[in-house]
Amino acid sequence: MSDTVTPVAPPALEPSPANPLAPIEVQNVSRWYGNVVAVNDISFSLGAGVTGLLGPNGAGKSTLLHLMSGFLQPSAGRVFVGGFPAWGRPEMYRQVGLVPEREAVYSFLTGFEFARFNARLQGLPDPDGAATRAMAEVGLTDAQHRPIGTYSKGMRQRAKVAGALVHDPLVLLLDEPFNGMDPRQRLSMMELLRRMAADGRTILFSSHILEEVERLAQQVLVVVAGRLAASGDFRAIRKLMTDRPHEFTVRSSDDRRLATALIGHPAVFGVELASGALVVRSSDFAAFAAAIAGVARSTGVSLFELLPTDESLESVFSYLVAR
Amino acid sequence: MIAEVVRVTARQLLGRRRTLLMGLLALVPVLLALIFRVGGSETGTIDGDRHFLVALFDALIITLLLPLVALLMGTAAFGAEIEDGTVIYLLAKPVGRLRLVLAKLAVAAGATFVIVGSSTLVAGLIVLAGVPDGPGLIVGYLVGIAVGSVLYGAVFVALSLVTGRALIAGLMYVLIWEGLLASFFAGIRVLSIRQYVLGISDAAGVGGRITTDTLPAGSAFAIGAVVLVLAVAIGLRRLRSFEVPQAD
Repeated sequence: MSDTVTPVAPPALEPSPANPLAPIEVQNVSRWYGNVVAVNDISFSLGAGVTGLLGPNGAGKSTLLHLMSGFLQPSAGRVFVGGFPAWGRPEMYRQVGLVPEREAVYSFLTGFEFARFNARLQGLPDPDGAATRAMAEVGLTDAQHRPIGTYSKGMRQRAKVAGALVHDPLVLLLDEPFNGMDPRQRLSMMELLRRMAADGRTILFSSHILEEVERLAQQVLVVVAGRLAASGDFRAIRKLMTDRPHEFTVRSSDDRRLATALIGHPAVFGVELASGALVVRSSDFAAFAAAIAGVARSTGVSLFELLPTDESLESVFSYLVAR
Repeated sequence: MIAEVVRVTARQLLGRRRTLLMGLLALVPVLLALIFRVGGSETGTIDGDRHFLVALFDALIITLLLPLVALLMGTAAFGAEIEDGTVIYLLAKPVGRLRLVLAKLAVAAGATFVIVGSSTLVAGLIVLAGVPDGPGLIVGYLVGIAVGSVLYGAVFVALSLVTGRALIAGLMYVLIWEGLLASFFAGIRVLSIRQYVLGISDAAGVGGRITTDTLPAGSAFAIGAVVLVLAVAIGLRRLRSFEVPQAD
């Protein structure tokens, strides 16, 4: 994946002797259910490091992860993970650890037994040793002999991670791994994933929370409405997101007078008088937020309400797609 | 590797309330046997005891208990994990799918045989104390039940991979197809696991039934083997193309 921001789908990498398969290769993959297209012609390839799969809920992140996990057959295109086709080749799972989003675990097993179950089915020579190491890795050594049913949500999540990394996989796929974790658990999980990435593993995690991705991922894939809206270095995409025009709704004692004053401000590039409110467009979120109170005071207008109208992640994403 | 799947599946099944219910159901033949023994048989003869036992086993154990227990165990062996989503942890492993199907079948058949077989053994011993060919009769039934556990297990495990409503489909097969239609139309018997069980238990030493006309043991074995292979093949095919439902 390049460091530059590539709006819409980047070209597919064709595997060849000179360019062997990357740990994760997604080539022109689509998946539809009847008339509904969940994933639409997505291509990318990922190497070592942490990559965030970002998108609003229902954008197709889970479908994409399911396709990479070998749980769904692509309607079109191909997916390779660890050099194997993801669909219909159980051997692939030697290279892959999965942390699914679903809460479900074998609640009657202890954390240790769950890790050992995974180790045994991976055919490891020393399942007990591997399970002990994995439980230590996720910081669950003290609780490893308690049934998972008694774990908190965050502990359960870590037990799932222990099960996924027990066989030391090349690729780790995590679906919303931070859901339900408190800030401290979140930090230690991020630390763990960073460490694993530093060991040369390819880690892909999905999230609908921008800040999580920002704190952990060097690279990001943005999926909106089943399409790859952007991919590349996170900072570049973040800049795109903050530099976009922002829209505010303002209610005041005198909208017209405030509008006249605001249009003269360098951070404002558009003002519109709507019924009972003023819609202000600004190119600089921070500068406008700092300036509005001063402008109102100097013109003698009282501010009643100031609302950013399009701060939802969805609108950020749709802006990215529209670009 | 497979032993681990068997262990975890067995623990999963044992923890279910339905399994407990099956255990209670298995007590019914034992209770009836006790009532018969305490109340005394009408005839008081060895033949009377024998008749009672065959009637009890045919009507209650082979017709109801065996298929119902097998249905619950067979459909839950994969079904419970598919339902709660834990099947992901099983599928995301470099294990051949045939081994997974066989492991699940082993648990379903094993659990069915333990529950139904022990009910048969205890009820049989209570009724047949003193009957000369009593042990042979019980062994004959146990052989039939063992074969039936495997056949029903294979069919119901496959069914749980074919449809999300395996329990209802299985219940209709047991009650309507085997229970009703097969008793009216002799031709249907060829496609009834109950008939294979009866035929095989005959050959293993039961005999002397009130409702005779069972399938010859040879045919029962041959068709049973075909059913087993077909069920495993269908289950395997379904598992290989199994798509995991998404959470959202």
